[in-house]
Amino acid sequence: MRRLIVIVVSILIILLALEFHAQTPPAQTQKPPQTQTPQTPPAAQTPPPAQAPPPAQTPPAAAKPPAPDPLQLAEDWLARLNNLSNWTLTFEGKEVGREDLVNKMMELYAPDVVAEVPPHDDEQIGPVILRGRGNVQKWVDKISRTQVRLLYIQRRQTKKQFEGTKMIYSTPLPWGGVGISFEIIAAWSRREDRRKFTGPGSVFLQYNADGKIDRLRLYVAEISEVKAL
Amino acid sequence: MNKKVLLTILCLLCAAFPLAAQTAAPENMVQIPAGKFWMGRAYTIYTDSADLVPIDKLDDRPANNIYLDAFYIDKYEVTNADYSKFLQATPGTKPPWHWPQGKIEAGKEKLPVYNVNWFEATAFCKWAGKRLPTEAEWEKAARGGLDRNHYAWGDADIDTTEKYLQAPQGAGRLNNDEPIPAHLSGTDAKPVGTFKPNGYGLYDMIGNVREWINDWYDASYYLFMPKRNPQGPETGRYRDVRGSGWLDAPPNTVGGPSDNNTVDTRDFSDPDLRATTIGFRCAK
Repeated sequence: MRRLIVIVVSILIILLALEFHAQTPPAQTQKPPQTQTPQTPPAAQTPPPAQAPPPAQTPPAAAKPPAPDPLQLAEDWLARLNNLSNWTLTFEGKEVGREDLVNKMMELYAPDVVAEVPPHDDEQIGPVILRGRGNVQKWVDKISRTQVRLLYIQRRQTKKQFEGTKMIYSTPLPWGGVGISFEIIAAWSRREDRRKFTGPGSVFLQYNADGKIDRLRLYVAEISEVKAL
Repeated sequence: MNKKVLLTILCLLCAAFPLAAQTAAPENMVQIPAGKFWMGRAYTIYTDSADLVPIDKLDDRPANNIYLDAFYIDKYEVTNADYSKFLQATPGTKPPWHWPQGKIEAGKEKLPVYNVNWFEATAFCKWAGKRLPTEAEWEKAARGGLDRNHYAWGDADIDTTEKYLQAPQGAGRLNNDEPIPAHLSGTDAKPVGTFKPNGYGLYDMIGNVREWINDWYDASYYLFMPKRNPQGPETGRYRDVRGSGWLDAPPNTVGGPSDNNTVDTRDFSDPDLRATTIGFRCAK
């Protein structure tokens, strides 16, 4: 008799368990299919009336280009300047690559650029104000023709654990673009006699919203000749 | 003995030739010796210190050390009387419009001619066997042999005494209370040579009338100018004008401009323009 009761109760428990299993949704335990089909969002059928429309179609990265890195701008300007003497002269006296280097430097400047640069040589006194791209090109061209071994380097600063840090000062300009400044050591040799000169200085560059240089101030002071020991 | 005498005579002759060449300057012209000079403004003025000079007015900077060959330049500005001779010799040339009935006003024969344009000034110089000076020639001549000076007579222009500061406009004075040796701030030109000449013996390089120059004007010319015998830009819109005129205020006039009378100040004008303060002198 006891055995019969145990069997009946077991059958009932099994039946109840089967009943419970049939009520639970099978999808919850299934993996999603590998090929995704377009899904209609459940919210589409009953959109919330207070919700704002979806944002603009363009992704946020394309709307605003990333701000230029001031250190990169400074290094690019210095590299192009130093490259101005990296052209060659053939045995026939033909200059190879000089114009390309000048053009490479001039890519950086806006048409209405104003630049203040040091006098070209001992035969000039006073500031040299270059108005317009044409005059800046003459200046760049003159450097490439008359100077060799150009080595304008950024000064580095060391303090505590910060060793040899290149300091760039930058600020957004009120009219758009960015202004940067940095300290340099300038060194160059005269092509005519290879006499070498050096001096500390500073560079101020204003890049407009199009990424072109609107203003340049290059100061090089205390210029002295480098003598062999 | 005879050989020694002959040698001595030959040596004397050789020495005399250059001297003779130097003294053989054409009438009323002065020879400006060959050599270098600083052209442009090689000093700083108070407006620089306050960042008040517009970029376009920095056309006299940088200064350049320029070499010029020797040349001749007129001692005086071309006068009405000189110009009258030119008109008689070249029929069809119009007299300055301010001459009554095309004739010089009585008593004004020795005044510098004005109301002539650049083309007429050029034609006059050509007729006289000369030419207009280049800008470099004019400035070297105006400096009178001084180095980096402000004015044709030197640098003396600043009088900071109480008396000067209270002086009325137009009462520009030198430090030593001598009048500035230039005709400025008048109602008409004065006869040429009224004031003391500069170191080269040239009159009215500053004052009386401004002077036409042969060169085209380019505000950026000094940036890359040739260092030997510069002839100015190849082309342009305006011609250079140099010096100061009788309408200009003297240096350091109270309330007036003080830096427009310097020997490095550059000006320009439409070559077609006939102005009451622009005359000229010739060079050779």
